[in-house]
Amino acid sequence: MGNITQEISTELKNTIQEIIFAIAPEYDFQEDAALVDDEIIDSLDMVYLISTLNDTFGIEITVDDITPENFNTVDSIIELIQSKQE
Amino acid sequence: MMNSKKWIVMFIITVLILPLLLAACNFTLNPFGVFGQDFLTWHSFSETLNPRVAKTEYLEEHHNEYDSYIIGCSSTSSYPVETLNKYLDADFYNLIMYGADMWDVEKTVEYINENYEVKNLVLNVYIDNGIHYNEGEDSLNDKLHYKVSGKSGAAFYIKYLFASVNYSFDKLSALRNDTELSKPFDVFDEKTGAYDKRARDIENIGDMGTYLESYPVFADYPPAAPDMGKISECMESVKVIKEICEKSGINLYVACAPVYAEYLQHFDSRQVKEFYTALAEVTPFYDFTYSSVSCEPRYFYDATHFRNAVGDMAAAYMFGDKSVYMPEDFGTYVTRENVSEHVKVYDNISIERQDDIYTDSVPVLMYHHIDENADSNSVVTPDNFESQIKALRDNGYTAVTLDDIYDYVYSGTDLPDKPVLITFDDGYASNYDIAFPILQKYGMKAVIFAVGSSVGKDTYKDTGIVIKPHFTYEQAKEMMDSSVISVQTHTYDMHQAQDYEDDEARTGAIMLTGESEQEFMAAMERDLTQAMNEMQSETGYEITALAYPNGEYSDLSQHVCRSMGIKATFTIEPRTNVLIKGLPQCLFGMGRYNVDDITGKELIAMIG
Amino acid sequence: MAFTSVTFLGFMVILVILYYMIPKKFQWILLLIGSYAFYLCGGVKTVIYLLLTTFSTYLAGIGLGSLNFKFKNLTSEEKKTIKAKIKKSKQRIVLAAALFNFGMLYMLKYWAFTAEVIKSSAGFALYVPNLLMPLGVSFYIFQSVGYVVDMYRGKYEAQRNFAKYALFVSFFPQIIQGPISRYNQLAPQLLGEHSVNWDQIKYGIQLAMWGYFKKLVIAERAGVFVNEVYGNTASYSGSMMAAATLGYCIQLYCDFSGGIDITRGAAQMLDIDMIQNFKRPIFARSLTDYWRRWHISLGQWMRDYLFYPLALSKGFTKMGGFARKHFRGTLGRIFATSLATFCIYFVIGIWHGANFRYITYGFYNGAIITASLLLEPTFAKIRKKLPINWKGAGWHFVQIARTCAIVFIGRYITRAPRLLTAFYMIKMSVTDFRLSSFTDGTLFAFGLSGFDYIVIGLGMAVVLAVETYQERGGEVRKTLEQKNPFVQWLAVIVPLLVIILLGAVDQGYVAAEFIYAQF
Repeated sequence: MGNITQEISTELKNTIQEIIFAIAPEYDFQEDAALVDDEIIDSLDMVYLISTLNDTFGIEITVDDITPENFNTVDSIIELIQSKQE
Repeated sequence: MMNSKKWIVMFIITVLILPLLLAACNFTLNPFGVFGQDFLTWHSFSETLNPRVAKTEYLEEHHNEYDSYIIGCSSTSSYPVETLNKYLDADFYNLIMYGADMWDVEKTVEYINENYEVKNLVLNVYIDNGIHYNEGEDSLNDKLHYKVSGKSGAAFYIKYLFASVNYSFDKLSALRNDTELSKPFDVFDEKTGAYDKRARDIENIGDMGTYLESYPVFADYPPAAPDMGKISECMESVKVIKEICEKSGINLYVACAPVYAEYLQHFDSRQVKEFYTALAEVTPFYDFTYSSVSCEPRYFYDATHFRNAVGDMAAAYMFGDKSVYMPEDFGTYVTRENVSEHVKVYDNISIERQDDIYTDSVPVLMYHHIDENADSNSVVTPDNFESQIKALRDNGYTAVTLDDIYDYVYSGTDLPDKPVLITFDDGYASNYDIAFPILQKYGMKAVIFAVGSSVGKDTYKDTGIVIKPHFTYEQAKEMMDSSVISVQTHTYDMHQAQDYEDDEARTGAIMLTGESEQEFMAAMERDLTQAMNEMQSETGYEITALAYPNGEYSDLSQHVCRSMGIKATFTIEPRTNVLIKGLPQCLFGMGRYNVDDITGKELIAMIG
Repeated sequence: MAFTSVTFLGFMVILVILYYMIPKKFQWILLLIGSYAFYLCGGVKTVIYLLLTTFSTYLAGIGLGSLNFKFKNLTSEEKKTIKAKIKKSKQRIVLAAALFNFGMLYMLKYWAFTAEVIKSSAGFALYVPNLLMPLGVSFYIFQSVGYVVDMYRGKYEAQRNFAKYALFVSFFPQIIQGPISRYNQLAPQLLGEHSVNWDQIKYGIQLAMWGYFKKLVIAERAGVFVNEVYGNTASYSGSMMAAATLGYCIQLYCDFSGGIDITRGAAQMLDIDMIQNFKRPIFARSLTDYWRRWHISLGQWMRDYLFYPLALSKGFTKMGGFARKHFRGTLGRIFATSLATFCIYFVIGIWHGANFRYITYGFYNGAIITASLLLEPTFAKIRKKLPINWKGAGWHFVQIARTCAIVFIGRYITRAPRLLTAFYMIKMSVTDFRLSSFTDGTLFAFGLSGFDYIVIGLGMAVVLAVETYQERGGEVRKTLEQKNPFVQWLAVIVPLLVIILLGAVDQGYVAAEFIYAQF
């Protein structure tokens, strides 16, 4: 069970990183910068990100979900997506 | 290290000290003059900020010098105290308080009656007194002194202790920029209490076009919609003033100041009539509000204030001095009996002038030397001179004298048609030898301005340097005795030639480099005194006119002339002079045309 | 009660002293009393509007809160069925509250303008009641509606105590010109208990002094010049118009940010932290960046309550999908969001006021930002080709200059008395630029002396110096408290003297009202 979750996670991670790269090419995934708090993505990017995530994963991220906690790191985005899939 | 708590304590202390500093500043610098007399007392400055408060403080010290008062709002200043002193043999103080309403006046009259000697009171009632009543107690510039208003002294002093520090700073900068003649921050004459109009009273007034350029407000009069809602309150106060005067045996004279006709037109005529009718119910008064004077901008300093010269007219009317010119329709003594008839004049306020009645044009000609050798523009050959004089006579010109033009402006005596004033500068012997006989021959007259230090000389002062010869005092007396010539002054020794002098030469009646205003005034007074005394002792004739050497002059030199009794001054500005009856200052700074070596025909063409 | 009046200073002194003297659990009551006293000073009649907004949004909050509570306590089965119904109820409440309050705002601020437009275009006149504008109406309505939307989103518990809620809406430092605060940021502080914190009081005083300096010494002066030229546009040359617009930039910034500093300083003295509204806008590198530094709380409000809901709405997401399919590249990707962005700036424009100038201003900003979004890839390509150091100070400076120029032009539009005059003035500034106007004495015909201009210049130099320091990360107040006592005392007496002597402070003297106070 664990391994499969790992695989899915890595796949998720890659997809998300691709989406982010399209809007913020300078973001270094190795560093620990916060996407929202450090202003890597702005409100316009946020809209693109959310609508793409919604399309890609068939979920419905809404305005209420737009918090720094949810969007600061790729991991937190994954958590958000997973919560929406339930 | 200062922790935050200490910081806050430090902050609070600093903040508390600042008002104390402010109070100390205001107390020492005393811009309004309320904190007693000290080394920084400057009455006229404080009076300019608030005349009510500052004059009360001034009178506390000086009231012993006066026994009569003239009081009212700003137009009151134009009734000259010198004239009133003459007519009533009194010592007047002009208690003009700009912006005063009748409440201010009533309170002030009450106060001076209780505290000072008052023999005569001239009350000026101005039409604006019907608009405002008891306004201004909230403003530092408009308050009455607490002793006059009867209000709290503590509140009064606190308000001035914590006045904006800018007033004190203004006083400091004013101290540095002060001059002899009035400045915007110093408009009063401390001794008389009136506005210091010395500069305005020697400015040349003449041609209307030039006047409108300098004072365009008359060409484009500002709109106004005054509402006279305080007529009954105003007259209540006048009644109180009258009662105070009756009780204390004060001679009360009530006068209504001249109002500029275009300003008067803005008022509702019904309210105006109500105003004067109500006033007549309380006291008889002299009404100068509307006459041909009101229609002439030149009789006014600005949009609403009439000139001191008109004040002289009003005083002359009030005290029956017939020798002073005034228009026929100027002044009415209004009583309860004739007021209803009198106020009908306010139904029809016209602003039309008929200035040909009271103005006249006088060109002045300027010569220097008559000689066969006409080598400069100040020399005319004898033949041409004769041709010029002949042409003047043949073309109907009458040469007028100084007395003629004095009579015109002071008494209103008309001048002949086509007047011309012929003048000579310097006092060359050629004037006596050549010009005098020619003038006699053609029945023309002239004025010669002689340089006092070169009368009868042919060398420059005591240097031995040869100059053109000048006629003597004997010859001057002979010319004056004949009534053809009047010899006046070109200053005693203020027409120096730099080439012949060692130090900086005084080439004209203006300040030398580095000379202070006081030094200059003293020097000029000494010079004129010497010129006048010498003329008096050598010929028995008085000097009343002066021509400026090189045409150089300033407001200050004009003021000195006037203060020394000079009635006319001449420049070299080429223009024809417009003289106005009743305005003696037209005679100051008169223009003159320099006459070259031209023929008579050319001269007529030039001044025609 | 204007911030610059002696009354306000007295009010603050008394309030702060009482605040720390009374039992801490009553502190919020004191603030409430103070806030309403403050509001009533501006006029008794208009407080009714404030109360209407407070009451309506309070009720909406409670209604939403109980629906949220109800929803939470459902079983997961019930959740699925009733979810839509509850959501619909919640939407109705939000709609009602928003319509009521924005309707009120519309009537107060925009009805007269609408009637005028209808009259001049369609000819018939509609009734325009003569309404007084309540103080801070644009600010507190937005703040309260924000609370309602937050409640819809279930962010926090509703405030059941009407008085406590009323404090959030009417808190006096922000009522005049913001910042527009969030309930969860401000309310806990307002309602909490505060002990005396000397640091906070000190920082608050210092911040307020800085605000007074900008307002009284710089803004007031510049205003004289600006008002004269803009009030008599026919009399002045193009160069004077440009100079006056520069003066307006100075006046507006110093007046508005100064007022905010006083607001935040006053709140800080009460140990309450209010969000920043300005972050050194002069250093903005693009217009977008500018709007993140200028009137920040308004921008954030628009983003959270207008932009996101709009851009993520079904309509816009469908449009976005459509655009991505049919338009290539960047255009496809950003079409929907650009449109949403444009709408936001239009709203920001008319938020300022009801006339064509503000509408144009909105379009101006929207157009430039949208255009820059669209052209971004093109610029990126050009940047790669040019051998310029894009990270260097030179380009940084150019970006700042460019942004300043764009904002500068925008100022003509908002300040001119009429829209057409604005265009005329912009044109004249270029075609009629005469250097002679600066030397022929016109500058001294406005009521400002040479000394006044020097004061404005030096004042702005000080402001720039401080802001440069802050832009580099410096914190002025923290740095100051490290210095020796004498320096700290100088830092008190010098500003105090400058403000008092140069700040046109007089007994009963009231400085020109905040430019934003009418909103």
